[in-house]
Amino acid sequence: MMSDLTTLYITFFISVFAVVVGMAIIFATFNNRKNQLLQQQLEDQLAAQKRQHATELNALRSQLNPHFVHNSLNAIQYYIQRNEVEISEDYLTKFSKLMRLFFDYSRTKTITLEEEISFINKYLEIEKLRFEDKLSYEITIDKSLDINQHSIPTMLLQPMLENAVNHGIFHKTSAGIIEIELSRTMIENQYIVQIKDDGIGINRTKTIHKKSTGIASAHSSHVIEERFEILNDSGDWEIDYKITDRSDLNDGTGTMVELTILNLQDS
Amino acid sequence: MGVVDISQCLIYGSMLLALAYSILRWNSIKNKPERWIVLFLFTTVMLEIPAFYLKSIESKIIVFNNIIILITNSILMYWFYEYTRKKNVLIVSIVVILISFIVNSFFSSFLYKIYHFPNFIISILLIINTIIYFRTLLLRNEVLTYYKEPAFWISLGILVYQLILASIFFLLSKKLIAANINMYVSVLGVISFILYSSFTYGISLNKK
Repeated sequence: MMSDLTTLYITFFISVFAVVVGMAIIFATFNNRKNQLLQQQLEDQLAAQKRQHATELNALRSQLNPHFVHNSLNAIQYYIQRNEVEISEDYLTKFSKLMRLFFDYSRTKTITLEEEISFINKYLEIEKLRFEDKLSYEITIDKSLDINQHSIPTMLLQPMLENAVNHGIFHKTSAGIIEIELSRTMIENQYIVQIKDDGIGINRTKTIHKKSTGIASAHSSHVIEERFEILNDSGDWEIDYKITDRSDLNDGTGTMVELTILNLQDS
Repeated sequence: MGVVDISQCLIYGSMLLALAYSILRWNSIKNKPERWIVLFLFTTVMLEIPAFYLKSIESKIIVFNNIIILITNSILMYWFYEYTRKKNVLIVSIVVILISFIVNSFFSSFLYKIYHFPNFIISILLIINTIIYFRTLLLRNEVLTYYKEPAFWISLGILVYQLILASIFFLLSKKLIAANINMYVSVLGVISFILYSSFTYGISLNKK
């Protein structure tokens, strides 16, 4: 028979051993779980990043709608067939410049307001060639707004102009005008972009597209909103996007898009 | 100074230090579950004083030790409940502790005997509570910084204390060993030091 003291020593030794092994198991379990969660978070982050890139690419791709390329080429063909060499040459030059800019800007996150205005100018010039007298446009820039200093996410305005042309002016029987107005606010690094057209208005456009397939319009609007969401989530921009039918405001017909853009990167 | 004296210094010293430190940090823990640890320490110290006094005049009276065990361990159970939010576990734990004390009081005096079997039951219940808490923590995002969690370190201290105490009380309750006061007190001294140090460290991790 073992003495009490020996039993106590053995018990104590076993307990200490059990405690040490227990501690090792606890720390190993917690570290494993921690690594597992970190791995999971990393995978989630990667998936989110992939989604973001995919959406951004999607947005960029949709900015120059295949319809636009197709319509432009058709218009050039039309002028060539009519033997209007100068116009078709001019059209082709403008179109190739726009394409060049599009591919250049596709790789850039932000550009200056001046560059964006030049880009939309080129885009609208081409659309004007296609629509001839049926389309006119006007760009007004607030004198106190320094367009060289202020920046904007690349090709942000073009999809909205495309909507104004194809869904606003296109369905209108008479000539239409697109007015673009850029003005600064009292807040530093913030400015407002207003795009107004006197087309049929967003309410009627929706009705028309409901009757037909409506995929293109719904898709582009969705992509525009998704891009704003991504930009706002990035923490670099704070963009407020409002779209209204002008008839709702008793301001004639057409659609008005208002963007309040705050650059948080430079704030 | 014998083994018992050194061990008692270790027990009471670490206990008082933990209490003093927790009172100093009261502002940062008053709205957190660790306020129950302060109550645990405060109750332990407050009951140890009359227990010590009673022992000095009548060495066989240990009624306060049983009261300390009953009250302080119930506080610890509640502290675990604050983290795990498992009401059933809390109720079952306290009911089992009470029943074990009542049953044991039929066999030995509450005034003169340390209740080995109920103590063993308490240790097992606290170990179960610790495991439940660890499981809860493993399922939460806080596991990413588990080493910064006050409750993790406090639970670890409780686990070490109770694992060793449970084995000793088991042997004592089964009469596999006779109460060897020197060995018992020195082991208690070491594990108490670990327990109160874990409390102090856990409280120090609490930020305002």
